Order: sequence, then C-alpha cells, then structure tokens
Amino acid sequence: MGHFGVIKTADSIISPLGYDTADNVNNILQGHSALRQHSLWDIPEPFMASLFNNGEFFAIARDRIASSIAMTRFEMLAILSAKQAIEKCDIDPASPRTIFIISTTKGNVELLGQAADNIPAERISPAASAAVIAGYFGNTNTPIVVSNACTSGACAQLLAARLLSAGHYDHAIVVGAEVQSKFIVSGFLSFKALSPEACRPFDKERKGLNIGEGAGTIIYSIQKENETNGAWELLNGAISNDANHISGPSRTGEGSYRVLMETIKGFDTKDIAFINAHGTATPYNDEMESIAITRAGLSEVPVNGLKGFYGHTMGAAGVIETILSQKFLERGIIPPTKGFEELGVSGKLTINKNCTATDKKAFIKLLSGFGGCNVALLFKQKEVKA
Amino acid sequence: MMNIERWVTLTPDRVNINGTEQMAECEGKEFLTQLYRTYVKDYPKFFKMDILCRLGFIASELLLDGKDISGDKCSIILFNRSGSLANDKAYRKTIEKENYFPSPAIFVYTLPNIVTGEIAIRNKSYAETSFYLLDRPDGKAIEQIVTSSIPPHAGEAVCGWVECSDEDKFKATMFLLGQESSTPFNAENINKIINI
Repeated sequence: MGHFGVIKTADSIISPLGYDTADNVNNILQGHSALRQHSLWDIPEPFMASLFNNGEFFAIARDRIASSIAMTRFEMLAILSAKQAIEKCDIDPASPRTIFIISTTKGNVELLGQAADNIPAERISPAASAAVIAGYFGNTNTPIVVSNACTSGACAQLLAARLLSAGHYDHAIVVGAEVQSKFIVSGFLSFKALSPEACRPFDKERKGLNIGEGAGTIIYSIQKENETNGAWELLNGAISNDANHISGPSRTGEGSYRVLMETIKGFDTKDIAFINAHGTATPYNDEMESIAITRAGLSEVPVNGLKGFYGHTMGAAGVIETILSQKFLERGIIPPTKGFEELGVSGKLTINKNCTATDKKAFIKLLSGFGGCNVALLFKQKEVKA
Repeated sequence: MMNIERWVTLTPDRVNINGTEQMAECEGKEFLTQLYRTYVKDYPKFFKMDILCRLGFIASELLLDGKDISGDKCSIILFNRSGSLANDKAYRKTIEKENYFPSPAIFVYTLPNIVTGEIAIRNKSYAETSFYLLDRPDGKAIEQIVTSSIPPHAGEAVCGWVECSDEDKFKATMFLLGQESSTPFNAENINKIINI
C-alpha cells in the first residue's frame, strides 16, 4: 500500500475531443487533435487553440444539467464533468464526508468588464463559483479551489490524497476546469509564448504553446483493505518552488528535479512505464524539464507530452493528462507525443513519439508553472484479480 | 502538532505583530510602501510587484523578521477569497478593443500564487508553495489543509490569509508555525487571530 492509501474511484474528461473519457481516448488513439486556428474576441491576430463548439456545448449542458440558478460556461463545464464521474460510482456527493476540490487558474475571468445580467458579480471569484459547483450536488462543505497556476491540476490531486489520508474525508471530488477568453489569450500573446502553429513538445522546431479548454474529474476514495481490483493508486507526490523567477523556469530545473527525487524515493524506477511531462512546447519549459529529468537519473524512462492534442488546458491539464495516462496504461500503451519529430532539448531524454507497448503499471505526472511551482505525482495500477 | 510561534495582521490602517498594534501614518497602498521603507529597505523588486504580492511580501517580512527559512523545510501556504482580482481588473483595462496594449509585466500577476513565489525567491526556499481560495477565512479548512500538507520531518511553516480585492482594500493574517510555543495551530486560534 502506498504512502496515502487512496485510490481513484471514477473519472471523466469533457473536452473539444469528446464528451466523455472513452471518446477522448479513442480520438487520441486515432491521432486526432482539437487544435484549430481561431480569430476571436477582437484580438488583433489569429491564434491556435482547442476550443469547444459553443452551440454543441450549450446543447449538451442544457440536456444534462437541471439547475434553477443561472450558470456560466465555466461552471457548466465543471458540473458536466463532475456529474459524469459521480454517475459512474456509488459515492454520495452531498455527504459531509465528501469534499469538492476545484482546480482552475482563471475560473469566470471572462465576466470581468462584461458582467452578465443574471450572474452576481461576486462569481468572478473562483471560490464563489466553486460554491455553486459543490452546491449543485448538495454538498455543504466549504469547497477548496487550488490556484497554483499551471500545476493546479496535479496539486489538487495531492491535496485530495492528503486530506483523505489524514482522515478528514472519505471521498474527494477533484474537478479541473478551464474555459478560454480574451483575458488569457491576450496575456500569453503579450508574453510571446503562443505558437502560430500546432505545438511541438520537446521538438527542435518548437515555437511555443497553444491554449485549450476542457475539464477533468477524478474521484478519490480511501482504499479499503485487500482491495486489488485494478484500481489506480496515488502512491506519492511532492511540490517544490524553484526560488528563481516568477515567470521563467529555473535553468537548473531545481524545483522539478526536487519533486522527481522526492516522488521516486523508495520506488524502483525500473517499474515506471513513462513520465507524462508538462511539455508545453515553449523553448524554456521543455528545456527545463529535460534538465530536471536527466539530473534525477531518469533519462532511460520514456517521456511523453499530450499538449499536441488539446493545447494547454491550464487548471484542467493535470487532471485530464493523469486520466489519459491511466487509460493508455490500462491498454498497455505508452501515450504518443503529437508534434514531436526531432529532439530539441539539451537533456538526454527518450521522447515517446508514437504509441508504444509496455507491460509496466506505473507512471509519473510532472507539471511546472508560473510562480516557480513544480509538482510530481507517482501512480500505480493495483493488480487485477482473476 | 504545530504551534503558532508568531503572527502578523496587516490592514490599510494598522499592523499588529503578536498583539502589539501600530497605527498607520498613511493609508492603504501607501502604508505598505511606508512599511517597506522602514523595515525592508533593500529589495527594490518590491516596486515591481502588484498589490497582492506587496501585501503578502510585507506581511512575510514582518513575520519572519530576519529568520532564515532557506532550504526545503518551511512550506509556504497561503489562502484568500478573491484570488488576484485587484490586478485582474488592472490587466482587463489594457485589453479594451479601442485601447489594446496587454503587458506581460501586468499579466504575470494575474495568478495569486505569484505571491508565494515572491516569498520563496526572497527567502531562497525550495519548499512547497501552495495557494488556495476559500469562500471565507474558514479556520477549520485552513487547519486541515495546512496540517495535512506539512511533511512530518518539517519543523516549521509559513501560512495565512492574504486577501486583496482592491488596491486600498486588503487584509493579511500570517502565521509562523513551529514546535516551541504553547499556542496550538487549530481552527479556534486561527479564527481568533484572523478576526482581530
């Protein structure tokens, strides 16, 4: 049994590539990407992004969500995903022993400066928005919003494991969700961080990231004794700051190296099938991760990145990419790295370009973000009993 | 079991360190600058920071008072309600259709966890930094999150509530946790000090 004694009970992915986990996995297996060029929101230049078709999105939201109060696109997306995961298991979302943990970087920020008539202004705060999401399911605990920039989705899972392990709750519903708007796109453009074409993680010709919308939910539960039903266990995890720069990754990969070392402590790294990296395809991020992975002695472990399918879904990325990594390993496959052709980082990495077979059952999820934060999580699938 | 070694509260008109209150000679944002000039002096990066970072930075400087928290043992875990709202409003003004000039120097502060990064950089801390949003300063939630996040071998932590919805409307309550004092870090004491 791992450090925390928690397992995944159910999951859901809602993205422009599909309205449930299976659709998303199938689309990625077929090599489909949701990245398209868009000209929107009076932004003076076009940009590549993975965005929902709003007509389709609102039709599905109307069909699946019955609510007496008005909701924003962000809240609908989070609820669609949470509801789908909850319906796959028998936990009670309204129980005082269940906590909602919401991961997002900007929540309802699109309301700033253009308030909607039917949405109270306070919902600009993701904390108020989280109360609407948890309230939809009848949960009365104060929901927790994790706001650690691009690492939020993995940090939220670590928080869930910690709170369950400490005995505060029996179940944690971790929802990562992000919608896109002029606010975020203009900011990344001003940083010159966006690629004019589909992103190319770890590639020599990479030019930056693409942004994306989406939501992922993982329900964590305290593991019951002798439970060996093939469930995914969150074994270990760590968060560390680079103490270097608020927007630039450390040149030595300090925080990322430290979380990798802490997370693999006591685990035989020969059992790790792959590292699912952040791989945003910005020159600095991918270079930094290559240095951290090499320093941690993990050069032999295959590395992949999923941003070529969805772009960077920010607060949702850590949750969505964790679920996809698990679904691929359940099929005995190391996920591909769409957009990668030729290694363009200084660290000695083994990038997994196409789907590759494996019989290993563990992987590492790695993320880094603004504010100098880094996180790594180690997952292992429990044995399937005959 | 962690205890509260020292605490600081900071509002636009006063600062209170462990129960000793000092009234401001000027109000709001200016008060933070005055505190910087009196107690910090040598960190000009302060003037680049947005208001949330200035607030968290000054509170942490007063709290730590020169104490060394470098290395990987002292987690920095902060909370608020409004995220980076004050700076989000400032950034929003730079992307109007008729007046479009987004700046990376403002955009970078549209994430609340930048303040934990600024404190980590100042103190050369490689420890965990985390930022959480709660609908209200709920002592029970803060106690549960902080105590379950501190590794068993860690001797200390910095945590607290750092809320700023507007440039002249803010409140910070920051705690230094350790093993020495006899004031337990629990919901009751957290609520008591936050409500001072």
